[in-house]
Amino acid sequence: MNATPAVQGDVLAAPTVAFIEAIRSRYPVEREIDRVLSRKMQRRAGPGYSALPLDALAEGTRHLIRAEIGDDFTLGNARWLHGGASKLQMAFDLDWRGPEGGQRRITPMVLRMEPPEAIVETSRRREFEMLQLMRGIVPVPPCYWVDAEGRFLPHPALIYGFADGVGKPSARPSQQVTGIGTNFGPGLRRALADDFVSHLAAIHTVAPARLATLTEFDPAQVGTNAGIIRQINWWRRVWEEDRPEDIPLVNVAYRWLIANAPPLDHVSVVHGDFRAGNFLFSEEEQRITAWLDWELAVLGDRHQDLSWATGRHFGHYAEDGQQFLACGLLPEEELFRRYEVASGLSVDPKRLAYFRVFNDFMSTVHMLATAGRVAHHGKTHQDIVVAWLAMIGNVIVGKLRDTLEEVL
Amino acid sequence: MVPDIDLQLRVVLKALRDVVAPAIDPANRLAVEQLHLSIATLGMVQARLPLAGARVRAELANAIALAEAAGGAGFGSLVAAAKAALDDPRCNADALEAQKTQLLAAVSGLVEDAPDGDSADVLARAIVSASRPQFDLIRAWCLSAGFEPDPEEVPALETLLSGASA
Repeated sequence: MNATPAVQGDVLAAPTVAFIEAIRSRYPVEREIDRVLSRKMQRRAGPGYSALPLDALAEGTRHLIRAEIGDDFTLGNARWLHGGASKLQMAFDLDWRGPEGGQRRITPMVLRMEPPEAIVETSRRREFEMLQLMRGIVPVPPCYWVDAEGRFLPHPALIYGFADGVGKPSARPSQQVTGIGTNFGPGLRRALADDFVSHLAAIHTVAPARLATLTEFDPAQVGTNAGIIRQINWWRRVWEEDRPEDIPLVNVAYRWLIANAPPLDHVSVVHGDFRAGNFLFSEEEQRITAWLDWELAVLGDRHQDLSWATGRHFGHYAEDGQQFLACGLLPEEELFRRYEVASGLSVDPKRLAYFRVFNDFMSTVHMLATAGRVAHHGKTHQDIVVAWLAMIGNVIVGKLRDTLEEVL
Repeated sequence: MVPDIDLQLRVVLKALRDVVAPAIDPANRLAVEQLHLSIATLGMVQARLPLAGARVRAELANAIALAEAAGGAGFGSLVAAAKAALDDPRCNADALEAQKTQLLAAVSGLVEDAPDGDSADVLARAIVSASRPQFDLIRAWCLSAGFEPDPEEVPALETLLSGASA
């Protein structure tokens, strides 16, 4: 194909139906991913984000809850919740009788709503379904209701229970925006590393019968590479939809990934963003209390998460200045060794290398295409955060180049 | 009098740091974070603004080198036009950016359309190798954002811009 002219004229600012259809057919993806990406492009020329009064958001939330459980509830103490780079979040207290209709109680909850466009465009249906699946497997917040089409709220949203814990150690506040390079300190590090490894193993070994209950995820099959090719096409499609200009290295990476896609040897739930910054923990009990941000979850190869969790930009050196700690928790070799024991699954260096290219390819698309695009069109509630984060894309594309130089 | 741009940025930064920041409710963490990033962004703009012209020229030079390394048939006129623009002191930043954009689109198209085989592999390796100067440049430009795990690996911005006059 011919690469789309870079400034794009700017066809990407107001894509035609024919343009959207051409991209859809060129890069086939999972059904639900196709739905949300098409929706994004159909709304691209629409308004950007305009400040939403908290009261209006609370009222929309009441409409959603009323449609689910009727009028027997009171929503109060609505307040903005800080954190994350992609979704709007509002905390509130719900006075209700619980899902089983029992005694009155007050349950702290969180509304998680998309802005008009996000740094990653994902499905609230998938996130809702994956959170339900993970109950009892790893700590996750209870997920109550979803407004998948934005019927009750300005944009698609879900409501889940407020999870206790913190994302960063209170004694070591990070200046970075999303917990990147979070330093937990030597004391906390060891305890959290235990949970980090065992939770990753648990996520990757969910029984096939439970995976078969998922309806919003296209199935993945052992022995084929169709699943990973769908994912490569997902991000190639987003590159086509969002990039401000061409980067020929991205085209090289795409071709290499397609040509070298490994057949799946075990179907796992892949969290997709398994790292420090995406879990909450109790400083007192020194344990992980909740895994968050399941929006990038897929059915696929465990090495995607393993490679992601050991990405250089998520870690830092230990106090000795010598030992590099994956996600600021434990050395990479130790993580892999303990993971193999906990999961009973092997860690294959060749697949790790493959998914390092894949993950850097995906992150390059997020940061050097989508982040700039959504900030340019003023589509989020925190364009300045998104535009700042975009600069990490420069680091990642440099690493992608280095890795490709090794494997080509 | 036209206010000096650097002075304008300095006074805005001072106002944000000294007056606005202390007035923000610390409990409003979204506002605290966005102000923190506003100050950091303006500080970066202030530091980089004098180099912006040199960066545009260096980026076009990198794109020309990339296109020459890719060696696509029919690139000759594109490369010649880009070189002419680079040599023309009347060319403004937008015109130089447009030349770069065309070159990058042409090289991307070449990669996408290359039939599988040895020649595609040779092209891929050439792209990977010739992409390095541009990636070094954008990493150096954004070094102060603090995302580099090994900042000492990144060449000095002044070195990368040397030869590209503003």
